[in-house]
Amino acid sequence: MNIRSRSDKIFDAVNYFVITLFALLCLFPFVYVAAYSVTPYTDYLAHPLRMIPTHVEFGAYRQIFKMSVLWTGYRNTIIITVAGVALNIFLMLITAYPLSKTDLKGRNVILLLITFTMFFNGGLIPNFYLIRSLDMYNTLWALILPGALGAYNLILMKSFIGSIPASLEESAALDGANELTILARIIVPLSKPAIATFVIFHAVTQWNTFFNAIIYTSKRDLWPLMLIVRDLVVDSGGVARDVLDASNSGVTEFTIKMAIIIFSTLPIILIFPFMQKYFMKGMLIGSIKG
Amino acid sequence: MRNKRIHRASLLVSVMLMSSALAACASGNNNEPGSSSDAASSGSAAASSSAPSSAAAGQKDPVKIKMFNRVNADIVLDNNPVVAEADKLANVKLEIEAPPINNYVDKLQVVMASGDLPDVIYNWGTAGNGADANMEKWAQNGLLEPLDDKIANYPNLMKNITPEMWDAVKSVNDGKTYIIPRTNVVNHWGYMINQQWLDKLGLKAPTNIEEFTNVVRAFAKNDPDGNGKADTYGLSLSGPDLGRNTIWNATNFLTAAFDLPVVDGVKDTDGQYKIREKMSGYLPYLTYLKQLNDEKLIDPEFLINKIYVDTEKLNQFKVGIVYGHQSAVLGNISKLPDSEKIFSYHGVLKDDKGVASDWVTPAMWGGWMIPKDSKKVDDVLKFLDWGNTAEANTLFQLGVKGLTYDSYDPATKAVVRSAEQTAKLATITSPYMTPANAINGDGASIANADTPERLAIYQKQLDDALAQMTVVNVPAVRSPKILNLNGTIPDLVKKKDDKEIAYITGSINEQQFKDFLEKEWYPATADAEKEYVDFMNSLGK
Repeated sequence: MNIRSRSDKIFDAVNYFVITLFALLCLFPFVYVAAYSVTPYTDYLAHPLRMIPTHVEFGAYRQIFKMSVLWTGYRNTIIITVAGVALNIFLMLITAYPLSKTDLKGRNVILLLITFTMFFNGGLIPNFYLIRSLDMYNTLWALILPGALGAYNLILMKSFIGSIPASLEESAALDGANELTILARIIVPLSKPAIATFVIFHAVTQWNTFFNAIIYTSKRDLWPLMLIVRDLVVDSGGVARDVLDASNSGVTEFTIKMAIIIFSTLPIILIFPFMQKYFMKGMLIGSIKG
Repeated sequence: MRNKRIHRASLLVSVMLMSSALAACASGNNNEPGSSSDAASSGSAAASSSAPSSAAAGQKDPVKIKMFNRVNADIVLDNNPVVAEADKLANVKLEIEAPPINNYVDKLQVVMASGDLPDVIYNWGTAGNGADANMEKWAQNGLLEPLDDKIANYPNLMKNITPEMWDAVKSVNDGKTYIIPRTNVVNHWGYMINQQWLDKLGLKAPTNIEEFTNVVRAFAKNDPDGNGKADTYGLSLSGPDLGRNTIWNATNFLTAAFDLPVVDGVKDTDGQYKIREKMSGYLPYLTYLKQLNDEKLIDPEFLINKIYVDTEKLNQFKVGIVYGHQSAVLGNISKLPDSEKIFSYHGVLKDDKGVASDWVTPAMWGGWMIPKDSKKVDDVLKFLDWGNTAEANTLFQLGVKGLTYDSYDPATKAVVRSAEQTAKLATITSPYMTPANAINGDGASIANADTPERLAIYQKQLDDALAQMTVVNVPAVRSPKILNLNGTIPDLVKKKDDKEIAYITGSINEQQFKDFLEKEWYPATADAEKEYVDFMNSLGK
């Protein structure tokens, strides 16, 4: 029997209220930008905080769809996101699995070396030289490989795999499975929540990447989407105004900026609902003792 | 035992897989189209590749010039028709590398540190003229070519770049010239006002401080937008960042009424050079702002508005006046269509003697540097010399005839172009692309002046403003101590800014503010002031 006291109910009500308020606060910027990407600028000026447009106008989207630079950026971002995530998950699994074995010789040394990279790195100029000497300058590989295997996520993954009961592996071994079979048939299926979480983490990181592209590329057709968006939206000189002909189209710089933000963030936001099931479980991986 | 062997074997396999994945990725890029090997080789061999070819084919062969420039994101540089036309006219083969403008300095620092330098490098610089601390550092490190003994051979450079501009970019360390200024349009800062409000209230654009006070009072108190609410203000200001007080950002229109220049390099009313805080108009100006604030005639957020926020409030019809120069009204069309029918531009206010001082500093927008010991110094200078002609300026600002415009009249700056041509123009050139953004202080065209009516409005408002104002050419101040107070006494500079705000908002009284100036500010800046005054007197102006 579920008996709930009055104070429990009040506590729940307060909880729901606070969580709802927080959710609305998180949602507000996105709704604001989305609303004003389809609102005529004159309406915005008259009502700067109206969330539901009274007139809907898609002129800004029509304008940005004509911008070839955004489509090129999309192509590059999709490539570096898909390839980056695939490589990241692959490298993480094949590295985390052996490191999760406590009897592995040299494990502590390897872990120390990996942990070292969390606190120290070569710096901007040496990394620039490294990328250039590896012939990766002006290639999309320069935006994929440097972050392909992060130490922090690797350690989390190692902890997660380490928490899988050893008896499962032993059973598989008794049935004749070697380590690679165990990894593929036992560990990977059981690690789905963790993998899904890291897919989201790394996909978001790759989708939002821009600084490496500044340093490691000099060709505009290699710029990822966020670098282009940043230059169009954040530019102190208001470059977005150049993409439009306000007097002919009636679309203003402000609306264009809002539309560009929606255009560039929507795909990555749409991934979340499909990954949510695994993501909720995966969020707990950091709390499991390795 | 068997398990351990399998463990070891698996570990080895894993390591091999990791290594092969990384190796494959690193080498695989060679096969990617438009990538890697050719890019890397172009990076390292750019300087040497063109020299033999031009030498072998004679002087008439186009010279390959690798340019590092700050260009907005929407410009497509590959197969760019404007660049192709420039190649033809200047007999060069221009290769432009343009990192994002927001991180231009980051990439420039990396490029300068890498040692693999382009043939000509744009430096924007904190001072606006490119001769900033970075330039000084690179010059001291021997990365830049001194150009003093060469520039005299290039007539267009000498004609379009004024002696004041050359003075402005000379190194403060060794007095040499390491940068060719990119000339810019001379801006006549004044103010932009809601003309519809003026007309509705039966007022005229103010020309002195009394008229100005009456107008801002009417804008704040007489319901100029007719909504029956007291929700408008006469004036707003904004600053480029929160670290600098908005009251000094392009507020020439207001400070001119107090004979108080917002830039260094101008004498006080007694004919002496002083730091701004000692000038006769300093305290009266702050006191006037205090009066506006006390009467609630000025936007209450005027001290903290970030850049462009004031214009947004103007466009929202919350305030009636903001600072602006002659292109501000037409420039605002991209933010608010029909701006030219709503707002008007006017020059600075007159002082109590009836003089409206239009302080004009050397109009520059960064500059061009050439690497030390470059074999292409003369080729680059020749290109920049061409870049300082009307032909080049027209090409880079208007694009290619037939492609981005149908006709152009240089005398009136009237341009005829279709909507498609306007859209095309935005993808192939912009002011960022220009070697020089102005010839004799003027650009080839005026932004958004795409109809005869708009052009006429622009011209009339500029003519009226210039007729009212007295142009004062302010020399460039090359006095490191006064220019670098933010670096040497940052806490005190911040404290002074805070005290100014405190005085305007009434948190401290005039005596408390004066005490701060006397006891803390003047002693701390005495050395810098002496250097500044000596420098200005040495100019003999």
